[in-house]
Amino acid sequence: MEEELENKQPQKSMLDPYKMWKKLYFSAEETLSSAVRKSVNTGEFANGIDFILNSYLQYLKMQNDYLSSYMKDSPFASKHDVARVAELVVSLENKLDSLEGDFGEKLTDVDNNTNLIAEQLAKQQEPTAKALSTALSPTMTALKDISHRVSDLEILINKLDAKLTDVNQLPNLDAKKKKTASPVSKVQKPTPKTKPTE
Amino acid sequence: MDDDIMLHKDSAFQLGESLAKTSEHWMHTTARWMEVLAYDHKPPTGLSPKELLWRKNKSKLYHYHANTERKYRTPVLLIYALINKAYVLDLTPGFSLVEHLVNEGFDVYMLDWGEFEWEDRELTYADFVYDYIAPSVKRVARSAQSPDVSIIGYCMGGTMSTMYAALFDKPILKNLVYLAAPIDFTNAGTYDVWLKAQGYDPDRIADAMELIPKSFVDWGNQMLNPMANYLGTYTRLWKTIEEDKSVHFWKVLNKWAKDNVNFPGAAYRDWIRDFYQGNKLVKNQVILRGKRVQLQRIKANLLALVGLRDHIALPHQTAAALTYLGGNDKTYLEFPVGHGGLVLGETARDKVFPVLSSWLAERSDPWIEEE
Repeated sequence: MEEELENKQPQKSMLDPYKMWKKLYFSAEETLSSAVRKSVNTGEFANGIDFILNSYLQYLKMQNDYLSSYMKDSPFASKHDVARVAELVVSLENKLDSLEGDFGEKLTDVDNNTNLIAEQLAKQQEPTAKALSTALSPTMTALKDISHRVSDLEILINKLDAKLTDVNQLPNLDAKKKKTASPVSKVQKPTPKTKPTE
Repeated sequence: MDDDIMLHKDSAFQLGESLAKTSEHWMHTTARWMEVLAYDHKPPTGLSPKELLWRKNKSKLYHYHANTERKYRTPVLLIYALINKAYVLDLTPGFSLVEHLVNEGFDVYMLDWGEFEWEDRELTYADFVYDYIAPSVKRVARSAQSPDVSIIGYCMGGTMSTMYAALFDKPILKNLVYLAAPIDFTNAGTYDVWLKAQGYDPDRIADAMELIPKSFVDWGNQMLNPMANYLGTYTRLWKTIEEDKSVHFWKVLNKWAKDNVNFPGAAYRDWIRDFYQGNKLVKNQVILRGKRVQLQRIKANLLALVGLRDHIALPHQTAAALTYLGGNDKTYLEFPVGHGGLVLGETARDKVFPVLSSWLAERSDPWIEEE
């Protein structure tokens, strides 16, 4: 019975100071943040800040003027001197850059123009070749005809030549005939006798 | 009594034990908090692999390498504010706009302004638009073999992209994306109160300082929400450690928040006088090198993304682009984040980046490999 009573006893509770502090702080921060934002968003705040800013600017200007007049006669290079050198370097870099840019653009232009010319040439070549082919077609036919005729002529000439050769060979045949007709006389022709050695 | 702050245990002894444990945990948290602030190194940022395509003065034009296949012919050029560092758009793996776009198949480039020094104090917006942005866009188009480009402008980078877009016809600007970019400067929130106050004279500041130091720029931005930026930064870190969460992202954000660059005095003068005080951009009164910036001339497709809690570029300042720009395809989307939240953090990664890349994908030419 006693054990049961102990089990039924309510849980012990207490405030967690850490959790409370965390919750309190972050809620307060949100509220405070919103309040501060409202206060900086006013003309009074802007005027106050401007007053401080302008005082600072006045001091800065005075300091800069004094320093630049001091640095004029100083043997050391001032911030302005160093900046001037840097400006020269930057402007030199700009010149190189613009040259590079111009060169790149020119190269692109040349590339584009070359492509354009190539395209146009390709376009132009097709009709020109067709027109030329049409124009030259009768000439080519005539040339072929002439070629045939020349071939025929050559054949005729060859034939003629052959006949002429035959004709040329005709007198030789007569001579042969003559030769074969008097073989005795030729035999009978007295050969000169040598005198006996006396 | 709020149950969150109550301890419930079976016995008084257990209560005491629990209290001792919490006390120990708090001691450990505070020690770790001090350790992070005092000794922890700054996390590496801007890690996406890239190559230098062009450089001018301190500025560099980077081309990011893609591990995935290129899907779109139209390249993307990222332009951010003069007062930030480039890694704002390439913060850390898993939380980088650059990484996301590259993985989605875009050919990505970024114009890194570098850190301005004393010799750059005379640079104006005309110089930045004509001598830095315009040649970069040309080089990007040439490198990507594309007749057109897309530009993503973050904050002041969006305003500068607008001036470029209004003045240059080629290469064709196909898509223009604004990430919290102020276009209309009427009612610019707290800046309106500060910069239009009678005593605030940008000429005086530029004359005295010449090169506006980064601490001055930083102070101006932090003071927009002093509690959150000065005290809140450190209490957030403590809370992160106390809740056993990773402090890596806090370190990355803290590095970015404190890593501003000097602002050329001449550009600062223009920025305050012509934009915040004169609101000349929407009045078509900005004249750069003799040429008038006319917003109606911009025919590019427009996507304007804003953060509803942004106190640097208020949503309506960006939304005005839909009225003043000349194109027909205009989209405006709001997200429940602040100025940095559009490019940093989980909302950026899970919501902003996918929306941005799918909008761009629909409006970019596909990449066809030439044989």
